[in-house]
Amino acid sequence: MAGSFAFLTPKPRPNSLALARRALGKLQASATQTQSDARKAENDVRNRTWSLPPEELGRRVMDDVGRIAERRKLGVANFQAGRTVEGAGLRQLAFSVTVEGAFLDVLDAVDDLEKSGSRLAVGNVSVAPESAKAGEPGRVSASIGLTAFTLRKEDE
Amino acid sequence: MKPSAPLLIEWTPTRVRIFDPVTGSTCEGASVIDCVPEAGRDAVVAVGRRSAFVRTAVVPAGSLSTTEGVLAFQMAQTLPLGPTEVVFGYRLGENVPGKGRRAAVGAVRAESLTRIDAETRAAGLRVRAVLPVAFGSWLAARAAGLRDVAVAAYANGVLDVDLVKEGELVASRSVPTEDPLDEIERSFAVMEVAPLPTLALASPELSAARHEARSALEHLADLPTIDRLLFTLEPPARRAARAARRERWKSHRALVAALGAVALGAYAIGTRARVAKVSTKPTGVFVDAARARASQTEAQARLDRATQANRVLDVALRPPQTAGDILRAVANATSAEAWLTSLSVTRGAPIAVTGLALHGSDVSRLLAVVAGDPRFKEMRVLSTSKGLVGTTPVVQFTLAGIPVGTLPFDRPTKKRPTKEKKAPVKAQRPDQ
Repeated sequence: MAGSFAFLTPKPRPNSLALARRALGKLQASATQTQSDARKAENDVRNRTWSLPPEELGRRVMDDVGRIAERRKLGVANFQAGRTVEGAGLRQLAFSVTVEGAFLDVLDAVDDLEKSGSRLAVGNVSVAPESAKAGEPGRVSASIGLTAFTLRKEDE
Repeated sequence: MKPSAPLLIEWTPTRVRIFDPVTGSTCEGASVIDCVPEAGRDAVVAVGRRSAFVRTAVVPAGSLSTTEGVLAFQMAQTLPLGPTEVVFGYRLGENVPGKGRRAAVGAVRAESLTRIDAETRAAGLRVRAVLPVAFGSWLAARAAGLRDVAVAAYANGVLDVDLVKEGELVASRSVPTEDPLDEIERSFAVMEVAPLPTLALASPELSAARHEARSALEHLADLPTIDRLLFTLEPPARRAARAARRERWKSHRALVAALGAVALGAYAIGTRARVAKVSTKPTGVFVDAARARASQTEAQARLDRATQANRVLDVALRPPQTAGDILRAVANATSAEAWLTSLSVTRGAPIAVTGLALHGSDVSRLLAVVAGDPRFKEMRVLSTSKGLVGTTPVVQFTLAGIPVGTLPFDRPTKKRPTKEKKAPVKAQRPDQ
């Protein structure tokens, strides 16, 4: 009788299933929030990086630099692709461009390159007087180091 | 409406007398069937004194089975009948110090009980008790509050004497006699009992210390007292059937208990299995939780990678101070007396400025202007030298310093750079 009572009488105990469901709800909400944050951050990265293969990216950067130089009445003396560096989930492609023209036009061109829409980072600028055309005072030759970013293949 | 009082039947093998307490009528016949007024009545059967045996015994205190065993042994010693030929019942009385308990025993031949059973069944009566009629005398003495008394009744030349000693029925006689008083005295001698006062039942002509109008049979109408203090005799077959029923009931109870134990065991096992299932087997909730955890982990890894990439991109594409601003700030510091010949700005490295000035003081002024600009720190003159441009003496100089907020972006910063950007510097054209 006592055994029956001990066995059959309902005993207060925590409803583990309800607790598990509550914990699951929190976990799912946290996962959803993290996924949303990840998507937003990834979109941020995509908007500021190139999604072209390296050979096409070189041509595209050269075209963009040429357009800026033309708009700023500069001559492009040299355009050269540099080394590629990978890190932090990004592939960094370096380019070196030499433009010639008026000092202030060079400054405007550098500003254009540094605008947020260009997706190019200016790493270094060296300005020196242009010696070849001595008859045109105030002309300078500027060597500009540029870097373009693409996503690493496994992160695309 | 059914009468509540039972029919009272005094039964002997040759004669039956039935008294109906409801109507007060008495009927006599050869068997119960001859006199039953109506079927379905309760009945108490009192076995006549010549067909029943009464005596007292002292039994050691013990269980009922022990008591019955002792009494069965004593009855076998006393009665000239085999143990299967007689049925006895008993009531336990007071304690006898140092000996046990006094037991008043009533015994009847098994054959008589079988006949009683058959006759009452045939008459459609419900027999509530079967016992010697002498116990009616005991009930009368008890009702009169007499512990030591000779209960006597004299009718039709037959004297019935039942001796009650120390509150228990000890002996019973029924003898035909013309002198009942003398026979009562003889009964004391026969039964080896000291003379006792007499209680006469339904015998007003009998000389006695006390008189009682009701007979011993009529006293047996008190069924609650019989149930509480006395016993009922059963024929061996019915007793065996009852014992068999009791055994079957015990077996059923044991079976039910076993089934209950099995059910409890199954319930316990089921409960534990359910608990184990909940805690170890992947149910829907736990599968969903595992998926959610995996999704959280995967999303967190993606977020970490994207955050790291964004830090690099923030440094690279949104520097607090652009190269164009640095170039403009240095260019704006020049004058007609001090001008630049080359300027080099590299992320994360000091700027290098070379130029020419007419005088050393012009170099100092240029340095003061640039050093006073918060965009630069630690600006200093690295070298000066004198030279000629054509015939004009000039001072060649080299300045160096650190532009603020030009971090290299080949490694990520620990923290996001501030979004506050330095105001762009407007270059002053020579013609302005």
